[in-house]
Amino acid sequence: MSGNDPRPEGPLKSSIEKLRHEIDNWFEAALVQGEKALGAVGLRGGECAWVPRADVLESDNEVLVFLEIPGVSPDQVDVTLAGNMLTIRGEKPPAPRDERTVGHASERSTGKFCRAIPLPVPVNADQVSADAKDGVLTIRIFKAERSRAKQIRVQSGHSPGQAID
Amino acid sequence: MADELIPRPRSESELPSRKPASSPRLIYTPPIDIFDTDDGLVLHADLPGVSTDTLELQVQDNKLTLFGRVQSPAPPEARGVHREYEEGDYFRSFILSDDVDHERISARMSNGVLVVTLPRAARPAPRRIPIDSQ
Repeated sequence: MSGNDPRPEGPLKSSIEKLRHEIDNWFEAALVQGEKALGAVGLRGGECAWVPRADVLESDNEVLVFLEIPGVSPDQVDVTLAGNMLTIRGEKPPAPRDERTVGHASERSTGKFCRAIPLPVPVNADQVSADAKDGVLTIRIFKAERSRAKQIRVQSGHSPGQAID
Repeated sequence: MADELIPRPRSESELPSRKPASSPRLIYTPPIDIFDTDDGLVLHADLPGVSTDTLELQVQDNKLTLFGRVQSPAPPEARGVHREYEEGDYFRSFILSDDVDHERISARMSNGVLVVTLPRAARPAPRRIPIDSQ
């Protein structure tokens, strides 16, 4: 089998090694930059161990935010709205274990989390509701009066210069 | 062998046949924690959006399968402004070791986390086998 070894030898091998090393460096630089950027916008500080995934949707009158926070009890979630920035903080307890417990897999994110979400439109801070169910936090915020959808009646126009087709 | 105690994640290709073929939905692999306690193995799986009604958990032969269907909480008229995940369901399966007592497996859901307890079967006491002389 040694004759069929697909690994290149000699100068080709060293240049591939060099390229691989270079790519590793890029990834590392990107990671460090990304973490710095997250830290700068307040998503990642010493106190936030993880950042939950979020969806932001918009209906005619409301902005809806869905946040995946499995394992977090509703009373451990803190939602604040300051201006147009919605901030959600909380803590997800780790699976209960003692010194005799032997871990085999630990893939779930636990500990403190935080998430800051800029809202797409001006909202009415007095009409906010938050509701957690099955590990999904739903936040509904009414839009400010001026950013709600309004129906505009289209009149059959006779005025010149308005024809679109 | 300690290794055999660990439920091993299986490939995602073995999806439950009940999945409707009409709308292709994404399948996610939920993150899990598995640990050994005095009573047996405990498995925690993060399944946000899955309720007790939409979760199927089954043991067949020595395979434990979980399939959690996610129902979108979003009203149909709402438009996505910023979406970080496409809607999908959760699937994962594990091979159980022989010493798990299948009859006593229990599970509960709370705040979108599934907790499965897999108690160990009591090992039969060693039995001396008498040897008959001819």
